[in-house]
Amino acid sequence: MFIERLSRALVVAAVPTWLLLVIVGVSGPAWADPAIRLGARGGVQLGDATDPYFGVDLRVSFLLSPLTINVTFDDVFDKEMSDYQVSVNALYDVTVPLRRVDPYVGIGANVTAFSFKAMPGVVRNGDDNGQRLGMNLVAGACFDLPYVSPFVQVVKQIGAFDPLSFATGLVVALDGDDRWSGCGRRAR
Amino acid sequence: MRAVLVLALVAAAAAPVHAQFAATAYVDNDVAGDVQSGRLGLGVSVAYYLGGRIGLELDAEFHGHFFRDEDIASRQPMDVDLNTNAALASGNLVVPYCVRGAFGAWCPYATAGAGMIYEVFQGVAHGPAAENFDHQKADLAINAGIGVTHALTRWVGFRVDARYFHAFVDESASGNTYPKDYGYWRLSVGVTFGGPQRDLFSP
Repeated sequence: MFIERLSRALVVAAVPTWLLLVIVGVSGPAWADPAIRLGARGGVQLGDATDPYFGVDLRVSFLLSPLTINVTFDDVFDKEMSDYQVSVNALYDVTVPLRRVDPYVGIGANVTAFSFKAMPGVVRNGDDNGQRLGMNLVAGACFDLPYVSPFVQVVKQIGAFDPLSFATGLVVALDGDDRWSGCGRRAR
Repeated sequence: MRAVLVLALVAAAAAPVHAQFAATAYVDNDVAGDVQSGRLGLGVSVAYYLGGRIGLELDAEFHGHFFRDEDIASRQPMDVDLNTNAALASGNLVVPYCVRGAFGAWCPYATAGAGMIYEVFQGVAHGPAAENFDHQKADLAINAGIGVTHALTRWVGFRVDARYFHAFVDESASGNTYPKDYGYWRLSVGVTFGGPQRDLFSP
């Protein structure tokens, strides 16, 4: 059971992870430019039920772009099915006159890989496993603190699965580049 | 798919500084029209831009669960579970217009082209009286749409693309397959390498 879940999670995570490695790797002379922030997050999804989820959060910012590319992977603890979600979002920092607070909005796409658990006496119409594509609308704020940067955010998914998600988490800088804030925003 | 992408990357990286190859790997969703929405498609496109003004693009995509079950279920024998997939190949013209400012470098574009949609209909028997079957069919398709690429680095960016496809179905040869012309919108998001936005960063 665990091996099956792990293999499904790896398959779902493989494509965006590989693409991100290519993005960073093919940056060529601009290798030092991207600001990379990696962290963990957790929250709840409000849909037919309230389901907790935990995952990882990767944010890559670029000198040539005002956008931050945000790749996330989440394992949703749903009673009826195994549920893994991968999202790729483009985040845009909103300028506000608050020091150490970086609010942002974003838009992106998600892939949900699901597999309903066998339940005695329950007959389902439609697929009992598969992948579904959807869209994300994101709003959040990151707090630029020393060493780690906490964030809070809300995500509305649009598609076959359309929960409203609330999350909080921490990201850490994987570079010592002072051109970027702890949240990955260009230093002011 | 991965081999094609690696080849495209090598070709883009090996090109002279002012040659404008672009390679894009993308995921897509057929969001509206006569086919199933919400299912994953994977594709790759390779383009060559002539002076940054017009591009020639080859696009290939694979899409699982292509047609809606309810549209073709009535044409299937009893006790058969039908799976449909499609592979798309097209050649397109792309006309970009690139701008750069504090908002970064963006290249909105319009595109149009033609190609083929290769459809696979696999029937899996679930009853004693049913039989498995496997039908393939290729239909001419035209497409047109708009999109935008945004540069994250000098070489790498992302692309958001929306295209309308219209397939011309040979109704006399439909059999268990989709019986009439169909159309749909495809929305894709991908990572692009190279492309006309590189001109914006030339010395």
